Amino acid sequence: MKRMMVVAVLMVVCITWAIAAGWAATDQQTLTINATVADKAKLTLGTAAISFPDADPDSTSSIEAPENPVSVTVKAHAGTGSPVTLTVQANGDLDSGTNTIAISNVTWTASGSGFVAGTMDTSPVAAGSWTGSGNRSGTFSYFLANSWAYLKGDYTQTVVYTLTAP
Amino acid sequence: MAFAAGERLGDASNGAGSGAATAPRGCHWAGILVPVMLLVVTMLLTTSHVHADTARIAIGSTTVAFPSSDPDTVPSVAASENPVSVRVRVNGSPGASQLTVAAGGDLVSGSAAIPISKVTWAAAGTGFTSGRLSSDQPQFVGQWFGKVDVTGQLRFWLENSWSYAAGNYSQNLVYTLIAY
Repeated sequence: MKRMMVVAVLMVVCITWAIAAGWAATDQQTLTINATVADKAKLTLGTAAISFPDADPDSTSSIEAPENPVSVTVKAHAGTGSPVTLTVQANGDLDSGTNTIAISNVTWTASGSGFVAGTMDTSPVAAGSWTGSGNRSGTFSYFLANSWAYLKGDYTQTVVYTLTAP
Repeated sequence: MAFAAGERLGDASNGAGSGAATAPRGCHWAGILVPVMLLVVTMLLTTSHVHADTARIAIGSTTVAFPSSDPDTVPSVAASENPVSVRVRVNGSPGASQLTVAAGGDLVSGSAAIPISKVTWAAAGTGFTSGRLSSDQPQFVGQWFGKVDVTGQLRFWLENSWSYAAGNYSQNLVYTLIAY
């Protein structure tokens, strides 16, 4: 009799399982996601112009630009391990008519990771370097070496900052 | 032959024997239990059971693409294919139906990766639910009851960032519809 009861219970379990298994319907579909991140470089300077005021060379040997410090933001999408570089190049010396002040008399100091100090030149000069993508911020502070040798005048020149993320 | 009053032929109490045997107790219970179980099974089969004959899901696109964008001006990139239609059909006598999505991992481009959790979707349509992709476990997309023939729309978004390495990223999503 015990054997009969065991058999009966097993029958119920098996039938119930079979019924449950057969009653679930399923379907699947695959969707592929693609995302493109292209090389990209974006440079922002906190000011479009700086000026050095007139000063006594005896008391002010190095004239500081009133706009200091000038904020600099460098944003880039670059490949993993790829270099990101910032350079600056002057279009010439400081000019006032026929009078000039060598552009190399203009220097800058830098703050912020990857930003570097330097001296202006008519050839590209390094102003910062990083690796890979990111959003970096720093500052530049500009100085003009003063001298009694400078001729009177209003001098000006344009410098071009170039951010590269190959 | 004559009999004395009060004396009965075949009285078991006096050992004469009535001819009927007593069955063992175990067989008595089995005789009740087996029919009861068979009755329960029959009820399951014929009266209150539910089941789904077919479950079908159709997605209006096989791919979705997020174009390259400036994170400053486009903090959340919309997929070019938005909205993506999704049709769910369940026939038969179903109970509950459920749609889930499982990601095969993060968005990858060579050795670079963007967490798949940066991808979200907004849902429209009866029974559909918005959510965020996960590489850990399937995410709930929708639920229905009874026979179903419903079409919804999913809009996909990628959170943008300057921290993403340049590259062409890809990953597969598997949508699974189960109907009971």
